[in-house]
Amino acid sequence: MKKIAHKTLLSLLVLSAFESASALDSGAQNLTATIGATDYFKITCAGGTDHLNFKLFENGVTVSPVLIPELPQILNATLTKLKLTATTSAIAAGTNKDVTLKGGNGVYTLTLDTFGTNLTLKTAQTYSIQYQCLNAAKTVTAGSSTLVKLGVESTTKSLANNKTAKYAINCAGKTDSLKVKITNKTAAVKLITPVIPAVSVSSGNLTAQVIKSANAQNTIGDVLDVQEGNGDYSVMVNSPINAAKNYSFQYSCLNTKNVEAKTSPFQILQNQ
Amino acid sequence: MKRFLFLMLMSLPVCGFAHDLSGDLGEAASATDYMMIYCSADGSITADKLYFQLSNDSPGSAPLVSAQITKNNFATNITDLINGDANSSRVAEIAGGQGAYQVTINKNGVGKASYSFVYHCESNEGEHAETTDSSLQNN
Repeated sequence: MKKIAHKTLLSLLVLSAFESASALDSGAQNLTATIGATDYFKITCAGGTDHLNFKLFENGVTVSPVLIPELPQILNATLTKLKLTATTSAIAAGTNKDVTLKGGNGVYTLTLDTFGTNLTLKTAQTYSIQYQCLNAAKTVTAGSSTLVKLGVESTTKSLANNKTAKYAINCAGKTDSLKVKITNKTAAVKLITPVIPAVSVSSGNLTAQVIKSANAQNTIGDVLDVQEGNGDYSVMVNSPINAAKNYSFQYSCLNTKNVEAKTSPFQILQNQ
Repeated sequence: MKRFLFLMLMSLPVCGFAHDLSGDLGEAASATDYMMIYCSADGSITADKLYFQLSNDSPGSAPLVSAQITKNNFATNITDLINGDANSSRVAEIAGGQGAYQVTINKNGVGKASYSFVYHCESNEGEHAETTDSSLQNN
């Protein structure tokens, strides 16, 4: 009988904040020098997964966590009237901006969109709108909208990422311009400090295989994309020379647009 | 190009029948061959385990070739550590009983590699049990 060497199992490094902001889950393990030692995992993908993205890192993880810069959730606003257009872009979470268009009396269209937002953030953005129809002396004239009354801040609305919303605002009297204040009420995402695997050069003394259905791929450090949709992906990690190795890995279930679908924490089936 | 040869040999005195298969792995480090080996009873002989031994038939500069065998929630790895010599890897005996054993063949770097392996299903007493296979992926 072979003796099983002592194992150290590091706890999972899956942090919920990390998942939501970086779209990556990760793990760290030790592989012993036991002959034939193989670690064996299961990763379950759901929610419209197209492929599992997997990367193996030899050696352990960095001692000091690395900051991942926050990517914004933003709103963009455009006012149009006939051929006239005015735009204000990148209204970040927790901030506001004005957009003004000199179009006289009549119906203006306010278009809001969330293009350019960090698509790994799943929460819809929230905002409010306040508008004023102004004459040339910047005095308030008359106006109306189904959204809210002139000069009154609207109730909080929501808009999902990568979507567009449109509102009509009608200015009357001796209106010279329409001024709209857009407040992005989305809570700003806090900076997070996930543990990122150390950058390491593969020695070829550690390999990983990702398998689902009739698709099996091997890596010694390159990123693998195993395109097998939703379901359970099997992952094996082993050393061809039976060397004891620390290693870590990152993985994410991604849809066809490379946006994270639903990724479950990995399950350890065998830990050698 | 790939090659798959399937030979039925009667070379192992303990078991009576062995199965021999050979193949190539392509240039990419991700190249993986993938097959299933099915073990079932042969008359009164039950299939208790899978016998598996790998040979790396590549020249010395080629990457090392390994095989991983899994069944249920168990997985093991075997490697022929010296390319092209007369010796094979250690023998892996996976006591997974009857059913399908998954076998992946991979390597530890970029470069083509050739391999062959011997396998068969057997009882705890070493008698040859029913052994069949199917290739799922060949790259």
